[in-house]
Amino acid sequence: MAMQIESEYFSLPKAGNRKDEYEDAFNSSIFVHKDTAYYKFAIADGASESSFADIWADLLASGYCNGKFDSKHIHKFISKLSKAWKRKLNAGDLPWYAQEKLNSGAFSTLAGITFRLTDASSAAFDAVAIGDSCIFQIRGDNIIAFFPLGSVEDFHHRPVLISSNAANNIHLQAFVKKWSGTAQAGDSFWLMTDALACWLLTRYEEDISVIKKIYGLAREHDFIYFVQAERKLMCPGGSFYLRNDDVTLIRVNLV
Amino acid sequence: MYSAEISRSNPSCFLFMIDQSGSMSDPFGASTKAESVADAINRLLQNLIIKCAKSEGIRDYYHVGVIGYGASVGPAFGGVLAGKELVPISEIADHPSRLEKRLKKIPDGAGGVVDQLVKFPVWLDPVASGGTPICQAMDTAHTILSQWVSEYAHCFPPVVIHITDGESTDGDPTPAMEQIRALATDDGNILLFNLHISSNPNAVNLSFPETSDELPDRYSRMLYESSSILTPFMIWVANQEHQLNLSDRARGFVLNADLTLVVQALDIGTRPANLR
Repeated sequence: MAMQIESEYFSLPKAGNRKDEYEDAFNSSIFVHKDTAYYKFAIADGASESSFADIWADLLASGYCNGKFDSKHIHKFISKLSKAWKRKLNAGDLPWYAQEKLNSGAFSTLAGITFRLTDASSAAFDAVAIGDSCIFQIRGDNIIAFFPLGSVEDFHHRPVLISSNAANNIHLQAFVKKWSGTAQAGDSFWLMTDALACWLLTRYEEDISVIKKIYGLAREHDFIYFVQAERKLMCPGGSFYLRNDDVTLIRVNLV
Repeated sequence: MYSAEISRSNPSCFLFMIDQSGSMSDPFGASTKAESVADAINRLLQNLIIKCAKSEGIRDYYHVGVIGYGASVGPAFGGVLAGKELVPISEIADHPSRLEKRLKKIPDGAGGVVDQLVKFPVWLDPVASGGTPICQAMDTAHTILSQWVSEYAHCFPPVVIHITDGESTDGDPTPAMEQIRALATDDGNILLFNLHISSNPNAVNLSFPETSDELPDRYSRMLYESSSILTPFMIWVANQEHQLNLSDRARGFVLNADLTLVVQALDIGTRPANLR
């Protein structure tokens, strides 16, 4: 029987922030061309030091899912989205600081993955990432691959970000990470923004049963309860297991 | 320590203390000491506000004050903010004394730069008159900060940034600065930065030293001794983002820095790890 894809989406703003202050974004799309079905998923993490980062993250995630992303010509992709970002903002009579923020641009990460499903029993995928939003490939109770970072330590460096202002993107092309492979029925792919991804790797190093915990999240309130509890738990090192940040999870199951 | 999250419900505090004495009219670089200091403070306030600016407006992550001392000691804001000691940063954002238009060089995205006309907010104008009552100024700051730390006992402690030529006319300010550093919240002691603008011909440019070996005179040594040791996060920012190679005994002291370095110094002092 041909493979199918199921997906679920969970998100929560930082503790202390309102729902409308959430600055991550997620998106998905399906389209069929000849005998192949293309399933696209993307997450983006708008940088909280910039303004209007939520709109920018949203444009990047939806731009990827609309098939506009081309990793070889990333500047073209960004330039169109930058124009859309500016159009969405009413730049008429902004106070001096908002104008200044607008000039410096918004910043965001992006991680996206495309699955190509045919009649075959396995599915091919291509992933792309800029920054520290991550994609995990899960088989059974194990993480069999993760992308684009190498270890928990990598979360402690400032991530490379995509800016809505072209002047900040000069060296960006060199930071576009790509990953391709095949997936089999039963595999799961988890897209996570940095705080949650860092949490998963840290917990996984201690005890792999954490994978079951993520599988076990069924409804929105499970996710909220889980995030709130992990934000309060301290690691042996003295910091919290889950950093207080916006969190986003897309769970993609291949069945 | 120094790990409290800075948020709207748990704000932190910046207090700038600026020398406005007569000696600040001495030349410094292409302008005077007073002009350089006013310009640095205006830029710094601007940077701080921009950090707190979000799509919907300014988030009050900080309470900010500027104390000037010279012919008198007291709050140095002009316009609507005149006389106020500590002000939520959104009020500062909305009330510069004026907006100047300036040309700013910005990258054009193709490796070059272009001029862009930007609005430059001004809160402080250069002032240079009277003596240098550092002790009195520190006592004033102590009163303001005591009240703040008792009201916000769980918050990230205040950062005090003092810019001076150091020649106190009302006694040795060492004990008064020590008293300020002794103030604390649950999250740590107040951090005191001293930025010294020296006229001593032997003064070299120094930033965040860990010893007083290269300091030219007793003024700079006094200010060095009175400066806080940088927090691990500040050292991390300095080394990672400003390529400074500081050791873990580096102090919040800068001697005769050019304006860029002063702003850089202030950036290190104003970049907490955990802004939310």
